[in-house]
Amino acid sequence: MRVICKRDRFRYIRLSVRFINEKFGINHNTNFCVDTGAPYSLISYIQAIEWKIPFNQLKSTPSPHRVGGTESQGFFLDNNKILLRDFTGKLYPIEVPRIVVLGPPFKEKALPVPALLGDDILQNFTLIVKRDLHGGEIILTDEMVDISSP
Amino acid sequence: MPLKLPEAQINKELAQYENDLSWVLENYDSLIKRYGNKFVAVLNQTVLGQAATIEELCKELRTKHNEDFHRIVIEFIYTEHPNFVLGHASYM
Repeated sequence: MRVICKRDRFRYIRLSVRFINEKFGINHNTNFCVDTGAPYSLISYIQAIEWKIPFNQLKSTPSPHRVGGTESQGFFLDNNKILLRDFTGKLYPIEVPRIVVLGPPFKEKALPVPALLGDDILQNFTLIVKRDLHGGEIILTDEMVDISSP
Repeated sequence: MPLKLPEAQINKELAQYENDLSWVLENYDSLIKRYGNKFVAVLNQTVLGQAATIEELCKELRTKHNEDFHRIVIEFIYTEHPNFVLGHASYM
C-alpha cells in the first residue's frame, strides 16, 4: 500500500483520510499533519466542532496537552477507524482504538492547531521523502523499503 | 448520512477531497489575500463559505450544504508561518 501525501505551504506533510467513529456518527473526510515527532495522534478542536464531538460524553485525559504553543484539555475518543486511499484508488482500513481529541484552547487567541498523525499510527509505516520530490509528494507505505545507500 | 456507505462512494468522495485539498494548497496565496486568518470551506475546487470562527462556518455549512458536509475541505488560512513545533508532550 502506498499513499500519497502533500506538502503544504509551510512544509507540513498532509494526509487525507476518512475518519469513522460509529458511536458518535462520525464519517468524515479530513486531513492530518504527519508528525514523526508526536508520540500519539490528535484530533484537533476544529475537527471536534466539525464532527460535533460531545466532550461531556468523553473521558478526560489525565493532564492538559500542549501542542504548537497552545494548551488545552484532552479527551479520549475510542474505537475509531481511519481509511487511507492509496495511489491505485484502493481503501485501506486502520483501526485506531484510542485517539486524543483537543478541547477548546485555554488561550482564546491561539492559532488553530491542526490534527496530528503521530507515532502510535506511524510506527506501522515508512515515510518516503524522495530528494527529487522535494517540496512535492511524499509516500506513506506499509511495504518493506530498502534504505541502503546506492 | 448513513455510516455504512458503499466503499465505492467513500473512495470517490475521498478522491475528490484529495483534489480539493490540493487545490487549497496550490492556491494558498490567493486564498490568503481573500480569506487570511479565516476558516474556509472548499468543495469541487470552489469556496463555499468563510468565517472567522469554526463554529460560525460549520453553522453556515450545515444550513446550506448539510448533505455534503462530511466531504468538504475545511481549512484555516494562515497568513504567516504558524511555527508549530509539532510533536507534543506525552500526557497519556
